[in-house]
Amino acid sequence: MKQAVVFVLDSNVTMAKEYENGSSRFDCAKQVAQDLICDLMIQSKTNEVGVIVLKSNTTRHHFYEPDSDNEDTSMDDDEEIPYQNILEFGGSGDAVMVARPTPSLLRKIDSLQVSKESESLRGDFCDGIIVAADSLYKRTNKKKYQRRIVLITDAEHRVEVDGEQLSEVLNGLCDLECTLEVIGLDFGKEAKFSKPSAGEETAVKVEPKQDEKEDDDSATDAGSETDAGEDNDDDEDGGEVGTALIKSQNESLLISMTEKTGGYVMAAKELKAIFATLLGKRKSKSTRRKVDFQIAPGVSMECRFSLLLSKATLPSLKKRVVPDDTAYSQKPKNEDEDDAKKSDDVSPEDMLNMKRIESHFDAENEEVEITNRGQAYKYGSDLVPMSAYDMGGLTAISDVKLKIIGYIPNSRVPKAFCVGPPYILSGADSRKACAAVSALARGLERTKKVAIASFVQMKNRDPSLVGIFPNVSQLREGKSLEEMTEEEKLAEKAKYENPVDLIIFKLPYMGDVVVPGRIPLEEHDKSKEKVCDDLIDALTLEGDQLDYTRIANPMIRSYWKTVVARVKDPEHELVMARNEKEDEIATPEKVLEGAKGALDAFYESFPLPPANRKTAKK
Amino acid sequence: MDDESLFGADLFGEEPDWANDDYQSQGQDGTEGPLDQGAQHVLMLLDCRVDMFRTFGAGNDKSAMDNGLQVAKALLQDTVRTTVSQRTGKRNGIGIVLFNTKRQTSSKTAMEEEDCDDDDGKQNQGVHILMPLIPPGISHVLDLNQCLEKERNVQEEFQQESQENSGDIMAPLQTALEVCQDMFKKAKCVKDAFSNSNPVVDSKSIWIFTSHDNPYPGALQQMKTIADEAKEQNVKIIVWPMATGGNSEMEDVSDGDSPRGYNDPSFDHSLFYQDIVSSAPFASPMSTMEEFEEALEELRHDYKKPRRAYYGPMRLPDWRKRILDEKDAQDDEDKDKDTAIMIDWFKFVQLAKKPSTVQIDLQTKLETIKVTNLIDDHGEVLATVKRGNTFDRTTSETMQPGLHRIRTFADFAGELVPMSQSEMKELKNAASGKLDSSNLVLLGFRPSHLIPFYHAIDSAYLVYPQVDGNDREAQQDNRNAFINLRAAMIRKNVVAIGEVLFRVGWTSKLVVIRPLHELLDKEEGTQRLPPGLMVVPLPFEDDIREPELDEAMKELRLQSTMAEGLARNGANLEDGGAAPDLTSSLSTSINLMENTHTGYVASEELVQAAMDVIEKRTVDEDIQLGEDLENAALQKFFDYIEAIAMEDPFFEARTEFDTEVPDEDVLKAAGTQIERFKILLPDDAEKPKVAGRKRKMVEDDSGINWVELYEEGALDSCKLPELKKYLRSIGEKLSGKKSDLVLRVQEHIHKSQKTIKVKREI
Repeated sequence: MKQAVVFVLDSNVTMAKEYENGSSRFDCAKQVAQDLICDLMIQSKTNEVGVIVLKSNTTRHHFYEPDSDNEDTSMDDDEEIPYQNILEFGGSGDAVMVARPTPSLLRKIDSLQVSKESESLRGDFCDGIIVAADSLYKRTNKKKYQRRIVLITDAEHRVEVDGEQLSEVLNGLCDLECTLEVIGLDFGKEAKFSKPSAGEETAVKVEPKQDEKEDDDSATDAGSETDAGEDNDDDEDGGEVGTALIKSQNESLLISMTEKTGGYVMAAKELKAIFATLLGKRKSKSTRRKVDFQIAPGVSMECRFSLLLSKATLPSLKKRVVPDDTAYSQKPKNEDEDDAKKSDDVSPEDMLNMKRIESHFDAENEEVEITNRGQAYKYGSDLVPMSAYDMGGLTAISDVKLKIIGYIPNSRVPKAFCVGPPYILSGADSRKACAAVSALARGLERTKKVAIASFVQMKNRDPSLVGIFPNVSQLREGKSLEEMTEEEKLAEKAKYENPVDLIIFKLPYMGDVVVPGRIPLEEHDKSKEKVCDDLIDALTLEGDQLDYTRIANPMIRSYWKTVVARVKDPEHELVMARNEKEDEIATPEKVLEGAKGALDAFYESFPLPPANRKTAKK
Repeated sequence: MDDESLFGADLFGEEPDWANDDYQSQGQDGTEGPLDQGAQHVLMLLDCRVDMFRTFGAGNDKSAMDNGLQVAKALLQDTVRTTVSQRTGKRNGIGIVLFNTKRQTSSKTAMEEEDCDDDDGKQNQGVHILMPLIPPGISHVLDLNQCLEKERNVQEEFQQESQENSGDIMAPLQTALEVCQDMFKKAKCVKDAFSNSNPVVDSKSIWIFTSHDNPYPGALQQMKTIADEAKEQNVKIIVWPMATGGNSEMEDVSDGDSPRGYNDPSFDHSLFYQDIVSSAPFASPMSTMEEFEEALEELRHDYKKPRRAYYGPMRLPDWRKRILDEKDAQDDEDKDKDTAIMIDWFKFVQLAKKPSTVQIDLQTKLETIKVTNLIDDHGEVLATVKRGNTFDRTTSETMQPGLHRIRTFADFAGELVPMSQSEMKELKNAASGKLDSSNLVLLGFRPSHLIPFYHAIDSAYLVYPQVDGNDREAQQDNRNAFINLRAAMIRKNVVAIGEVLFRVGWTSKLVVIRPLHELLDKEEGTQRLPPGLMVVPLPFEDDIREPELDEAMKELRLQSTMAEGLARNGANLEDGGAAPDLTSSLSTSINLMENTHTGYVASEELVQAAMDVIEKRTVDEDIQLGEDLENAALQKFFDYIEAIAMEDPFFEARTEFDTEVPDEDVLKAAGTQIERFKILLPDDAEKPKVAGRKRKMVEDDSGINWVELYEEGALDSCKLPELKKYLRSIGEKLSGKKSDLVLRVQEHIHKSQKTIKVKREI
């Protein structure tokens, strides 16, 4: 499903605070927003994005679009201007609405600055959320979207809370099924709510007024509906204590808001931590397709199957041609090895398109017109010409179906026979199908059998031979138990004990297997057991070390990182996701250090042949 | 910039190029090892003695020669089908040589004309090349068919005349073996390891089909010499003992060799052939097609050996450091530190596919040569690339006029970002950890249950310690390390995580390395899978899809939550927690459990019923994947193609396959159990019938006066998006061609106009 996300960026003066590495909170916020937007753009062209800047010197949003003449609204402006100091943009950066993002949007975000003197500006995060919610409502109401509001703030500014209005907006967000995600820079508290809080209660837990110095940092315990009212009295005391209190109260307010809508408040200390948390949340949903599951004659039902794994790919590069009258085009080819990169004075827009035209020739180099061409199958060293009529006889007519041929003990189906990628088969929302699939899954699990079936994956295609296995999932260490939500834990446990769905793998037909001859393997040497056992112990990975489910394909990652960097700076050098400093696909240094002794012992016990090229020739 | 990148080849090039006919397996240094199989060639020698042509009688009008030809046909078909569907073995050649033929034979047929320039002399010595050694095609099958259908009378042409060979200086079989040697030498499809810059070991076999177990007692020594010569050249000689037809005419065969025939089931290899053949897999004479097919199947293992996909090192995690140490080595001790377990890789499951069609010139019936021109907007040709028969790579790369003008860009939401092909290569190299040779790097171990079996994005590779005939001692050390590490992995119940780069220039993958247990054939005790290691490609984060939860899973979660609640209640009680009303607490929980059972998860009764069905429908336990279960669709496809090629008007598709079980058989075996399962299945609540999907109406902001256009009959002039706007505004569907859309708009306006008219009238 396509997503509509509104990013709310806080540009309050406190966001200018710098981290150790020299970048400010606001730089960090911009980076997070840009990266998340890039992710959305890469995931699907149909995803839409809006950006709202809090505490902006400019007021411009979908409630209020000033003429270009008096765009700059000062604080003395008319009271009627709604949501002052809120800047909203989307699309290419000019529109004031949620729209499909373009690279210009990223550049526009890049150009944003922290507002000086913003203490005196309005446009707090509550206003931002209200504008964001309305923007989402207007763009996506009654449409199929996955909606999110991502607020990136240090929450160190005073907030005017109109409890009633806020409650209304939060209820609206609940109705829209829109989650609120808060990336809290230097927050002290955090929380996660996988779904909106139940019940019709409209109360928002609002912290006591900021000038009432109550020592209460537990938002969830905060009192019932409290109207923070229009309290906007200037507190002159300021200072660190004041800011800390404001921040703490704001954090609690945000937590209670996310509890209401579902979402999370993340306490982030630095950029790396944010990405570490955000990564791994990008698994895309698998499209479900219908299949007629024929368990036995007369017992069939409509089930759904979807891919469990699918190789992610890169888009192909676009080709353009430098016009031949430019100086560069005259250059001999080999003067610059990498002539396709830079140094063209011509922008891609001014380049020519490239077309491919195919033609066919016979052995005498005479062109064979399309009317004189036909189709044939290669049959060994000969060709078998096929007329259109002949081709007609080859069309298999079949609906998408999965028909069980029989069952065999699972010991006869070694894993080496399974050809991925696997599919999952479930009953979706049909009681009959769910019951049948789960009965079969449990039946197969208990009898230790595998169902052999013929599977027509696409209409009118030939069937593949498949094995149907119970989906006996195991608790994975990759995502440790501590990291799992209560629900996830239960689901994993339940699945482990009682499978309810099935996994489909392709299997070889007759003739598809070629066994590499008889290869005997001698008995192992009992005296060397310890060396090997020690090596394994020393090199055992724990927790999320080298967890492939969280390692992004480095080629794809590098490609997109480079592309995004070049959107801002076309001359930007390549960005390598895997480099000497950072390499996810390597044995963790700590493990390697710990295993030194075990490795040396292994090398000593087993003199190994040289691995380099020269000696390999021997 | 090479032509592959120009034509949008897959940037990853992930999959080993098994399909490529020029594919040669390579080690890291690009050379071939002893396990690398080239093509497999078979020359069939058919004996033309009189008894070979004698029909079996008793309603069977076939002869041993027919059987031989039938085997040849089956071999041809099998070779062609494998070549086409497995996309490998395009060079595999098959030839047929007749020996003990009569001295003068009739003129050559088209099939024989090719490549048999010098067999005239041999003909006189009782040898005739019926089919030269070439990769077979449908024409060869057709030619053999002619012989089998007696459209060509092989018997008349070639059957040995009585007493013909009595005065031979050289036994025809000896001549035939020489002819075979010559054919192996001269055939274009055979690549000799010693005569080619690309050393490939082709396997060569000679199969002798004869009914005589002692054909030339006097010529044994000469025969042995020539057979030994052949064997030295890696030619494998096998004899197929043939049963022949009835012996009523036995007296006629008086060549003094006492031929054994139909009534004599023995074939004594010790008399003659044991010194000639490489192996004697078939002891007694064969007469039925079943026997021949079985024999052919047995030999398939030989001539269809898997190719070693790769060989190279399996390195331990500290390998980079060791290489650095080696480079900096001051003393001898630190030299040769870059060591690894050397392994051979096999991919043993290769799913067959239908071939794709090619374009032909309808007049010549030959494949056309596809030429792709790259042109710019001004029509100027930048490059021309020929594909097909005469593709010349060198020409295409150096002679192209405008290749240097082409630039490549990454498309990011419509904006073009510079990204050259060489940069892509650089990215790929960095993404593969800058590995500069093919490698399997072991990164660490994990308990085996932590890697779900379904995390396999592709088919598995089998890995064994490398077989290298040169250094036996080093080989044994290598094996020891492999065997002991594997044993330890089994002992500790762990799997290894690794990274593999198959070929420089490709991207590396993460893999799981699992110990592979030996799988034996229960019946024959033969090895179905040798013990070793199995390497399965793992998905990256980007490759994992999250399936949507179905209702059964939701119900299960709910039940688990309740169960947890119950357990917690129990625990509280045990801890002495306050239990004001134990009974009511438990009953509430039980009620809740019952309420959560919505029927989406199977009841225990249904699971039992499913188990009964499974038990009853369990097929023979000895079923072997890869050896049983025929690919019906592919078989039908080939039968159909052959029928078309043979212009067979009476072609009837085969209908019986072990993968297509008739319903009656299933019901007969498990009818009662299936019925019970069916009865126990819950019904779905009938969904209220919705008359079609309700489309959301979106206001038409096109500003077009539709009625006016309708009246002018100018709806056609509207653009597709405009028509869609109107249709959206009335909640109509948007699918179909433009004409359909226009029609839909017309109909609607027509109707609405009519309604308005009626209303007005009222």
